[in-house]
Amino acid sequence: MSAADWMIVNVDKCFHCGACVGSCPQNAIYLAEVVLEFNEKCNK
Amino acid sequence: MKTDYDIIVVGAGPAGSMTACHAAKKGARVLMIEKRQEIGASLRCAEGISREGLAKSKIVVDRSWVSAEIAGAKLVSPCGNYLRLDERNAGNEVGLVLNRHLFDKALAADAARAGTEIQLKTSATGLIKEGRVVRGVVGTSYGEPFKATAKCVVGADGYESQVGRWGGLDTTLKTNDITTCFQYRMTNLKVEPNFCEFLLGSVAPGGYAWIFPKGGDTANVGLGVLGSKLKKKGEVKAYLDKFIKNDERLKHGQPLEALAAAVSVSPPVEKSVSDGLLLVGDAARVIDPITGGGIANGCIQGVIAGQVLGECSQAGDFSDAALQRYEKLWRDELENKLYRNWMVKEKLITLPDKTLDDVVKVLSESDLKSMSVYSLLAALKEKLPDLVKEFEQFI
Repeated sequence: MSAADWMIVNVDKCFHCGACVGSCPQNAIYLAEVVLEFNEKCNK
Repeated sequence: MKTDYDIIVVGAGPAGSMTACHAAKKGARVLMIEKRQEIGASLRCAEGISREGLAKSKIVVDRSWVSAEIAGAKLVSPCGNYLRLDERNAGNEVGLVLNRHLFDKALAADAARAGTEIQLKTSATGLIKEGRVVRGVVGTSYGEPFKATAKCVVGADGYESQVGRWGGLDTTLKTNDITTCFQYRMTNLKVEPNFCEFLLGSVAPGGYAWIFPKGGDTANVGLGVLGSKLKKKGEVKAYLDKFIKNDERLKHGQPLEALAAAVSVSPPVEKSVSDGLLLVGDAARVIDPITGGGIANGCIQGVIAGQVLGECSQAGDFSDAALQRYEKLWRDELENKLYRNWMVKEKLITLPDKTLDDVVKVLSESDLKSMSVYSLLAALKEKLPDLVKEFEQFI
């Protein structure tokens, strides 16, 4: 099980601004419109 | 459906559209993809731009995408000292507050008229490579797998800047070089309709609060806090709500729109091109580290990128060596100023409120000719030389 499987986004608080995407040191997040997707590089 | 192009631009913000437009004008076959379903939405911007920035990009002002023409600007210190410059002495530095929803669409329309194909709701999630050479993008388009090849891919994907990282260009940021922002479009305000206001100090640690008029009693009211100064979740919104509550002009206002965003306040990327790959705009980290403004720099860089890419297309050469002309031209235009302003930001974030009060007081007593960072620094060099000695070579 990778970290991507247990990453949980609080959709009530997310503004889909992409701040986490650009700040992720692993480049492991992708913002598709209003949905955050985490890939296998997610390890923290 | 066509799947092979000279150039694929990822991201239809101002920098992407300007790049696409100028490359297409030179005959390149350009595809611009935008992952969202509408260009210019949703908003992640305070929408201010100088007339100088527009003029340098040869963008003719169209009132249809202007929310407010600005007559002046006010810089306010924590204790209320202020520097006020109107259009008589602020000149071209004073600018416009845009309607980005329409501005971005207008630039994309110009790109389309020049021959650019545009695909909305089309995401790039990776690059096609042959060895180290970028040859296209893979992703999804309207929910279906998408693949297109090109001789060059342009990363115009803004703060997220993933295309560059997929291609091996380092666009990562330190927390000290990220400002996290929250903004309301507010109405029922008692603010000056034609003055932009910047408020410094602990109201927005490591950043500033702003009021940018949007016409009538409406304005963008927001603030940015430096990433390294954040301690709790939701803190930026809390700072903004406190700022609004404590300001008599704002406290009875009501929100029409709320947005969050992150802004890079870093030096530009060390390398913005590689074989078959080029970065432009915020993806290349060309946002002004002092003002947080990035539209003008992105447009200026986009013009240069488009022209160089057009020439590369005519020569059939998009190698790292061929793209170095872009690297040189945009750095000649922007780099010194970006580095200077990054160094100023590094100093500014260390100053306590009392010093900021003194700085604004000194500036208010100076005979300033403009609100440019250069002009402010030149005045400080004369009155508070110790404050600027670390970067006086840029003044």
